[in-house]
Amino acid sequence: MSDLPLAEMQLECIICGYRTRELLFLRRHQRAVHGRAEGDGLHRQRLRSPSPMLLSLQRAARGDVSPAAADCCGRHGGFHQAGDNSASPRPPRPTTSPVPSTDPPSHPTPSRPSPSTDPTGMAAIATELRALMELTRVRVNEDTLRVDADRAGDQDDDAVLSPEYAYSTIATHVRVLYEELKDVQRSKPLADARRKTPLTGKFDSFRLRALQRYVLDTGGAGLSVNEQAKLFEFLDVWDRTKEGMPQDAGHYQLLREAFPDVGAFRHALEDDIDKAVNEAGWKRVTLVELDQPYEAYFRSALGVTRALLKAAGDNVRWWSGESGPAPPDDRRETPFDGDAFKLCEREVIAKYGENSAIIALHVFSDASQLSWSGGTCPGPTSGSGPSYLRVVVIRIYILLCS
Amino acid sequence: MKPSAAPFLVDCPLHLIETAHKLYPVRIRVLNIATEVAKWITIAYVPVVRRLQEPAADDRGRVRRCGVLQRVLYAAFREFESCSHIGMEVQFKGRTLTVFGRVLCYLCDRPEERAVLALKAGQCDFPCSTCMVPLAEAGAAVAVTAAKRVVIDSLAGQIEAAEHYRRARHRQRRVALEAVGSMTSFVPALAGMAGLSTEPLLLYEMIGFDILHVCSFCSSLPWRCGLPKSSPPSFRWEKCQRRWE
Repeated sequence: MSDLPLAEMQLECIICGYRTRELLFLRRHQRAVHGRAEGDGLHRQRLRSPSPMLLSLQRAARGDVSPAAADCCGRHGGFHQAGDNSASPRPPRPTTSPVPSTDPPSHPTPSRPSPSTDPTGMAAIATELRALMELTRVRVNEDTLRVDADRAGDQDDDAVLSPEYAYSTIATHVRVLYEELKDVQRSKPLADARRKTPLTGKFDSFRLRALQRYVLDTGGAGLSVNEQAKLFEFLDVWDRTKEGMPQDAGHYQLLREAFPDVGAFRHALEDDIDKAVNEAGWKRVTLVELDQPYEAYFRSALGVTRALLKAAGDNVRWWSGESGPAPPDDRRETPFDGDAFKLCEREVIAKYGENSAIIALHVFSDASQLSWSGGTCPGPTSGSGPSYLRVVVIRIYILLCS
Repeated sequence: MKPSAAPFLVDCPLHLIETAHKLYPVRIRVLNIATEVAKWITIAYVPVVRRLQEPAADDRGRVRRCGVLQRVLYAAFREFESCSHIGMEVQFKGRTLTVFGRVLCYLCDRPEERAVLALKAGQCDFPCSTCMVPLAEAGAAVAVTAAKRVVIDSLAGQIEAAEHYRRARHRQRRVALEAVGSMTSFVPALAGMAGLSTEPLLLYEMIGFDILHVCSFCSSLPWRCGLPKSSPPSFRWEKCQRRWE
């Protein structure tokens, strides 16, 4: 059924579009073909051309704001809107009142999006915004702007290059201001594809999806990259696929066979940690000072020193020189060059002979808790500075190996 | 399967500690072990002593703080102090060496320096830990030539004062002893270490300031205390001490 109006004295079936000149024939057709009579056949004649505003809205919604179309619109209604490009001269207007715009549209005119090409509806929103902007704006008189700019002393020569418009509502004006920045148009997808054909969908089984969930959920933010690598190595061992791994009695043992439930698993871990802590020599003591009890924790500095020396093997330096005390000099590059070390070393060797040396200690205490001086930076002498010590983090390094 | 936990790697039994946030750690570093990055190992956790609601709360809190710190330090360094006197034997490239422990440096900040050395903190007559410069002359030119603290003399006085304090006797004598060098009635636990209270007597030389806490002492701390930078050093020192207290 065409949208064109019917010629005079012509009737049309409102159901199927059958045309005739007699109402009698129309009724006969309707009763014979459709089984009912509907309409009077004159509905096409009653169609009126839409108002210029409606036409403009429809054009803008279609993305068609060409000058020809606008011209056509202007002929119909004699109505000028912003964005149209009517060639008809206009008389000069008062400078204080806004005048309709004569500029061509600054935005490109994309075709109207179809549902298949715009599944998210974003293009429809953009079209709606564009229509709203271009149809409701009225260009502000440039003469007024120029006078104001002269008064301002031409401070912003290159500031205003695009014409200024007034909008029907503040909300529209606000939206236009931000739309002109085109932030959304310049935006890109958040994640850059790691490669041209990313390996997505590899976690395609229940077990692998559980693993993926664990990696992404652990600790709230998931595992770090290093932790992911460690987890992979662990799973490699757990799957018995790591090269060179030893085989023992529990090589094919399942987790459930060792720990029937999570409680057993947790308690076993806790017990091992307790044992390791006690083996490390940690002790607790309650100190009473002026009737107030305080619980302190300590271990022998000598025990720690022994363990460190044993772990270091031959990577130990006993004297300030190569195989004995170094002569006094002005070097101050290592703690061995310091006066304190050399003085102590000299005393010990003078008293006990050449087969003697000193174990030199530096002691560090995070006194900010004592003094409340509030330092937060890591200490200068250690990579693992004291700041994190205030943050109570359970840091227990246990080497569990078979 | 036997868990083998390297003892020195087990850093902290904090899972056993319910009030972990009321502790601060003491760490050591063995200089003889050549590593690229300094490796600090925790050997003790000292409970933080807070001021209580009681008569003379500040004084009693200070006494408690000093006592707890010294006792924990002694507990941790007890065997090491023995080692510093009698030594221990180690094998090194076919040689049997007798090695003696020494504490060369104690990194801390100013208030803890006074606590470790069992000296009075804050507004006292002799605020310097290495010399006997009076408060009135601190920062002046004559302070450069002030007499050094004598470890033997100071420790003798502190030991006598500690005995008086422990037995609750001769209070006036104890107060007088304390006033001599702005000392407290405690004995520094590390004074039992050879090399500190014996030759070369480095007890008062062992403190090394932690840059974390004192790097801005001379420049920004007076400013933070609301003092003009042009104020005399002794005045700044005194005011900062007061703020710290």
